[in-house]
Amino acid sequence: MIDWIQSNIPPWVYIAFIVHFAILGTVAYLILLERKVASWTQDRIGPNRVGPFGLFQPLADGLKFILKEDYRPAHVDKILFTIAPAIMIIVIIISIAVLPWGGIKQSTRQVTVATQTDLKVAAATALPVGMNVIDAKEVGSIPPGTNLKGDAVPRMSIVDATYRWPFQITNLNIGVLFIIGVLSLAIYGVVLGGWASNNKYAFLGALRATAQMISYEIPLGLSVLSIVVLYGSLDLNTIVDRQAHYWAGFIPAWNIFTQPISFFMFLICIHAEANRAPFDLAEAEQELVGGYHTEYSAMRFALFFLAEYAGMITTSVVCVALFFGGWHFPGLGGDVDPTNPSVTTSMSICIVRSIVIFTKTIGIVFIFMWVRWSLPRFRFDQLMQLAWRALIPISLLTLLMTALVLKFGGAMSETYRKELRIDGGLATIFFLSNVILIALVMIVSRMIPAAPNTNHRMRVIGSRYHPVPAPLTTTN
Amino acid sequence: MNSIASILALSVDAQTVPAVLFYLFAGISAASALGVVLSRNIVRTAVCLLFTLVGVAGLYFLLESEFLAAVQLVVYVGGTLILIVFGVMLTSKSPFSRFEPKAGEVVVAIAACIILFAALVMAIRSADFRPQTLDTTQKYPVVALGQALLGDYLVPFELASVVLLVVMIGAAYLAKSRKRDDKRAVARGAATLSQKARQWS
Amino acid sequence: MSLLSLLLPELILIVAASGLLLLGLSNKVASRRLAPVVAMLALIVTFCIQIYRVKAGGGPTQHDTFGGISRDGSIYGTLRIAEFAQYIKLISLGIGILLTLLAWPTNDDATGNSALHFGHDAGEFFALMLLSLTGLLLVAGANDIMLLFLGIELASIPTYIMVSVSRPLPVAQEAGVKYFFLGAFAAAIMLFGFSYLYGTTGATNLYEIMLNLHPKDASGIIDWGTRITLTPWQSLAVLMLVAGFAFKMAVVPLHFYVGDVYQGAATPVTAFLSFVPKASGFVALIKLLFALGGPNWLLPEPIVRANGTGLLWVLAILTMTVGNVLGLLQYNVKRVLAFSSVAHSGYMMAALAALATSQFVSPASNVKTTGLQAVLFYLAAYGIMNIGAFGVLQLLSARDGKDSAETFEDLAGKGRHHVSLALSMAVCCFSLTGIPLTVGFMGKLMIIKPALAAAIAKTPVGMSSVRPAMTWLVVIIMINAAISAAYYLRIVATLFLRSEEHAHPATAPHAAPHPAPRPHPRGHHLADHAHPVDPLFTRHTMPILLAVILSVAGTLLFGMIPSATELLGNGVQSAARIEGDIPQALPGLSDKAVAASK
Repeated sequence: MIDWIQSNIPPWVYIAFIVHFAILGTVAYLILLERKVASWTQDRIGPNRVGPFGLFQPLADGLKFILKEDYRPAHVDKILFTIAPAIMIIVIIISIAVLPWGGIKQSTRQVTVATQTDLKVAAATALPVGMNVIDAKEVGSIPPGTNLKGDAVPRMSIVDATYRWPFQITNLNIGVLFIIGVLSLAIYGVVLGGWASNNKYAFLGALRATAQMISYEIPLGLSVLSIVVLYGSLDLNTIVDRQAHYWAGFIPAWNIFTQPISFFMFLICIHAEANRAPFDLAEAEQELVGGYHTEYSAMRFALFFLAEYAGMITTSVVCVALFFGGWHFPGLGGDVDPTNPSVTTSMSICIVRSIVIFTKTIGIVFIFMWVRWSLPRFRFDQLMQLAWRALIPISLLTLLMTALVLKFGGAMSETYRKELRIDGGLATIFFLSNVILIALVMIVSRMIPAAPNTNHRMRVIGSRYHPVPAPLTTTN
Repeated sequence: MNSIASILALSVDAQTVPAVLFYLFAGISAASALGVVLSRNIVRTAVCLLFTLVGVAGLYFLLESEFLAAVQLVVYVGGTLILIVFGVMLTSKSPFSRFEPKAGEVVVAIAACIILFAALVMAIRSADFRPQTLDTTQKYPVVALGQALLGDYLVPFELASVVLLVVMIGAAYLAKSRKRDDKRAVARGAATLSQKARQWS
Repeated sequence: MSLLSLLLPELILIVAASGLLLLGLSNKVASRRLAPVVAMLALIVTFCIQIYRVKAGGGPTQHDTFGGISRDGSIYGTLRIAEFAQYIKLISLGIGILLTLLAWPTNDDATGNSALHFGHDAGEFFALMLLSLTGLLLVAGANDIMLLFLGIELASIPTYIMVSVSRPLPVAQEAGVKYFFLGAFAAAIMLFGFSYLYGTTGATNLYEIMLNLHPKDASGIIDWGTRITLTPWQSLAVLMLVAGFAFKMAVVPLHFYVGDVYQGAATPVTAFLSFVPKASGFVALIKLLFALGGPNWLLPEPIVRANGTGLLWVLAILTMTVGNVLGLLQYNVKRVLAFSSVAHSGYMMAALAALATSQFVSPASNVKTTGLQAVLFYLAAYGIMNIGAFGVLQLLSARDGKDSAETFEDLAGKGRHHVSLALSMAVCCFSLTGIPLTVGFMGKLMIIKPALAAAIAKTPVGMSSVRPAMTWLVVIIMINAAISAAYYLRIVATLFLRSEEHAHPATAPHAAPHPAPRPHPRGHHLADHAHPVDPLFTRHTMPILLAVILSVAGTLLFGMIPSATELLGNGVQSAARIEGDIPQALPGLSDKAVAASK
């Protein structure tokens, strides 16, 4: 039985189970953390009634969501009203599939296969699907004969197969693009939820969310591109691997140091994509009641809620992988090939790496909460100006700067030409270029004429901006 | 097979999984494409289009062109379609606007569809597809794609950007000219409420 | 030739267009006055470059420089500027200059002229014009279906915008929306066809497509001598492509938009529409036919059948007849010119239909070369003479004095006040009819020549005769020329013979919604007699007048002076040597093709 499982169930199945439970479980506790962070910011104590330090609060919340009446208002578009939260959560779960957790694991196993000229191919058939066999040595053989039924059996080889598999659910070579693509579907949950509710506040929230998410997807993609350009790869695993070394012996070669501008862009954009303060115009309580999920209650609402937090985790993992070296931490390098530090033969290292990346992720998520309880909300015109007049031009400039530095600086750097890693010298150039770029932007932005003021007061009859008193409406 | 196909692979024969997935994605695309045509509610039409495009992206994944699939998601689903939905929601008079085609129109449309479908079926039955062998050993096909775009196909690539520029300017220009007309209408003496209000403020 | 110099005209135009877009940001009158000057300078510079290139390219044996970028140094580039492309570019730039003159903003605040009103957006308007012309130039040089499609779209998309912003009237907006949706639909069909063409040949490059479609012998030498048979799949692809191009060319089943769109757009934009998209459609069609037929123009079955009829033949006859008959029924001069534009597409299709039969007649009849020459000559001729007609229409102010003339009532009796203008109109109309001593006559002559040659040529042994089909084609061209004479002469007659007093709105039920033929105040024609309001030579009319003069001069020059006609003829002759560019069997090519097929 164990044997069958080993040879047929690929490791990503377990990883998938564990990761989903871990992320969805963490989400519940992130909600507690959010409330705690809010209370710390506001000098309160926060939830402390259910269990020690309020630790069972998430369970109580969950129970409440399940037991509440699942109310659906009249005149909603029933189908869309139901699938909107489902789209939201499905999209987030799909995007979890390509997150890199623990680099690449190398294993060796003895398998028995029919003798072929190419033993690697033969060994691959005996292993679970998706294993990358790098070596296959014949250590013994069984001569041809007949089996119990009397059928002829060819010569069999006993092979020591060495194979590698990524310690994650699946490894796409376009990982980052996949995540951006899939997360861009999350907007449909918001839009359809808002539209199907047949409520003007929900509808306005959906419209705001659409405009916002479309606008912020562009600088998000551009800031990711400036990392992709560095390594010529869209594969998250490769991007992490290339960051796993040190400058001057002790500074970790993370992209936060080479591309700080891109990091801040990315951080801002994932805030906007998560629809959280200061970008939470889509659900601004003071203006729109609750925004797109005004009409939702019970588990349907919980799905929106879950998706928001799970989305935060996903984007934070991507952020860690792009800018904070992913699993990289002293002592967690690979033991197989010094030029390829992500490959390791030890399962425990893989697990520790997952813990490291998860801890870093929680750090980013903490920033999310910190920001939410510290900054006031943007006005809509400010929101749009930030995207179109600041983030997009600056991220384009960053991309241009990256390309130029790589063209001229990369040619000089031996390490970069050989293994596409940023060495200390190149990193210094990058950091300085970033500083120069931001200085340049600050100077130039003074010279650019101000944007036209689009925040007009609407002189709607009866509003306080309307000077003439509203005409008396005659009732008929 | 790797990636998506392997997600469901488990212990099933490696040949059947892609087939099952193919029918799944093709089914999603076809069914929701029918939904696009048959649904009378314009927003539902857009949602059906969403599933059609996602299904096509799934087919691209099956063909191991992950880049194309992701671009399909980013460009069509995440960009174009959302703008369509946006436009539809903003312009439809009531939030539940519906198409009400006349019987004659339905008949004509069905006839045209049947003719086109028959022609396509006949044509595809006679198709002699020229299979292009792709170099699957290449680890990053994206690099080759980029080199093709900025090498052999530089002129079409750049031209596409000029066309997009024209489209963008055109859209902005048309929207602006509408405004200009409004101003002309105002100038002609159609004093609007806001204008009256301006005199007071 | 490097890519930069290969694309020099297009690059100049794109750079000028970008400059114009920046200029459009300014709201000053001076910048609006500058805009057409910039556009004109760009066009003149590129026109001069083009003249130089055509001259330098000169001799008939001189080959083109193959695409600046090409795979493995072969001729598989996406761009390929041969004599054919140089010629098309030359005439499009020349006509582009005239079209810019027509659109010159001459009124006091430079927001348009008598017929055109684009408001404060002169920069954008001329930028769109230049970009559309760039699209046409790129179509001329395209050797790849992607570039071909993008070029056609670049030529078309600006026209959609130009139509709707050319006049601040609902009718123009309506025309723009109609044109846009139908154009997008046609583009979708075209793209569908292109995708099938790619699927069936495995190549986007037109030359690769041509090589893949044609059979090869064992040693990999392409057999250009055999007529290929299209599978139903390929036929469907070709049909869709022809349908897509037909929309741009305004060829009959897809001509229905022409009346409303041409009428709704401002007159200079109408003139633009009647040349640029049409030319891009014809160039693309010629390229497609060349890829299907190979250097010997052995066009396959649905396009031409063994008895000489076929897709092209049917389209030609339908287009000519429907265009002319509908032209006869119109009350609005712009609609008349719109349907005349359809009819002229039909004449050009007739030349292509004759060209397609060249495989069934003896080579001595020379149908192959004369057919293509006829199309190329007629394209230039039509462009030149048509602009004159639109220019005059623009100069003769309408009766309400606000917009250019559109209906017959607007034109009535105008010939008495503006003799020279009316004479110009007469010249253009005679030329469009095909009356001798005009370029239109030479064009018709060239159109009839291949058809007639095919009709009287000897049929090689074992082939069915194309004589009946071609004879009918010639006869129908003749009949159509006669029909068209009726409505062209009606324009001239209205100008000279009708008096204004008889004009009455009630006689114009089909008149455009705008300018509404509202009864004008009594005494209006008295003012008109004195016409202090619209003297002919003013600052406001100069550019348009210049365009009309150039157009009329061209019409007469190319029609009367043999050496001028010969000059154009020679240009056409070398341009028509499109098949001369590809050798019958290129060893390098066929090796590659064999490698590809393995």
